[in-house]
Amino acid sequence: MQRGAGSLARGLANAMTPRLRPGNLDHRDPDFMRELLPVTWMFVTAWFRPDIRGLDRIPGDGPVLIVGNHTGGASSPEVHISQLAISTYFGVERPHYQLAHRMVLNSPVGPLLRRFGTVEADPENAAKALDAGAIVTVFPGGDHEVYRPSWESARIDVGGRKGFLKLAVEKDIPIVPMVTLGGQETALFLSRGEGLARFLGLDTRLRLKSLPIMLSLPFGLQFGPLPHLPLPAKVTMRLLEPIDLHERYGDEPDIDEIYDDLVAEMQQTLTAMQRERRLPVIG
Amino acid sequence: MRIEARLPVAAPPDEVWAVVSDPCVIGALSDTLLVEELEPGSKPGVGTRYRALLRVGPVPVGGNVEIIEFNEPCDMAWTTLTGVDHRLRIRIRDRAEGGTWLTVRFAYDSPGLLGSVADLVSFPTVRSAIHGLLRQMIERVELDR
Repeated sequence: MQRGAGSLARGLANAMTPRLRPGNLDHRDPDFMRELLPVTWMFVTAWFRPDIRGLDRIPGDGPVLIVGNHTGGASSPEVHISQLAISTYFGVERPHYQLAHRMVLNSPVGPLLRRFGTVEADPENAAKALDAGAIVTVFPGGDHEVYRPSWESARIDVGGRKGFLKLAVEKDIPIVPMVTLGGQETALFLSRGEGLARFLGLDTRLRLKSLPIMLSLPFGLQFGPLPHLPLPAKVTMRLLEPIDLHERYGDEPDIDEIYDDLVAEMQQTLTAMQRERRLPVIG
Repeated sequence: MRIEARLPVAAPPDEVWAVVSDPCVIGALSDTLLVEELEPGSKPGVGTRYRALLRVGPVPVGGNVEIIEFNEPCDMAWTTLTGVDHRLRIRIRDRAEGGTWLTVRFAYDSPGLLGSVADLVSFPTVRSAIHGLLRQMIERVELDR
């Protein structure tokens, strides 16, 4: 049974491999963004009724690393909202890249996302973008956090991933934490399905550590990291004060200490946001 | 899209100009327009640049602007250099019955057919923001007398 499932997954991975394109910084197209920004922002605003505070905390120029919690499965609303909001606030002229899983970039909407500045979550891409003076948004929790059960909506769960902090320390880049609530209400997420992903060998073959199980539109009970039609849940986002790592932690910062502080600060904000929320989906 | 709002002010043109010709002053008195100096300490005039954002929707919209007309005490106009394309003009004219006509014109134009749809949808919100801006400018001028 396991051998058969493993063969199937390997076949699937092999079939997809030639189509997997990592994307690079040059795919970002400001003119294309300028044309689509008004209408996409209008739809996103109408659907998710975003309440965003703290964009003015992003330093006005130079490289910045925005670190967000990841929500809402493959349809992650905060990814689209933050991309469009930052482009609306600073203008498409200010380069902003988001790091995403390669499966996202190779989905049907991948070409669109690449032109909006989404690149594969890869330290080299992040370093290049920061060296170019761009804003880079990273969701270190990745597929682990994005498929957490809906009842853990108000929990930051970055899964111990700290690579982004090493990069920020090395480049001496300020970090702006970004906390989102509401994405986990766009469907009923039941389980990450991490055991199933391991059983099928997807973690090694497709870098997929989750094979989520959820109730969502339009398919009902859904298995796997496929997009869903998100419920129009109200999304609230808070950007926190920028953190200068060397100023706060000295010349040789302890990555574990930074990680613990960052997660605690984001968790504190998320808990406060959850307290303000009256009803699921409605907000 | 083009929005024009015009109201009389109980003050002579010079006094109106003294308040509304400085984008930073307009930003400070308004709750719909955010203005920041890009070159701190510079005086308003042709070529001076600011960051101007209009509070419409969940995120302020705008970009870097440059003053392109500065004719005391008649006209001040800026246009965008970056961000969402728009033009703003503040027009001051004598009023035959006494006082001054103060006009704010705001034009914005998103590219493409879908951009036009978005412009149409946002029109009532932007129109309300521009009318609010005009009322606040007049309140400030009349309060300063």
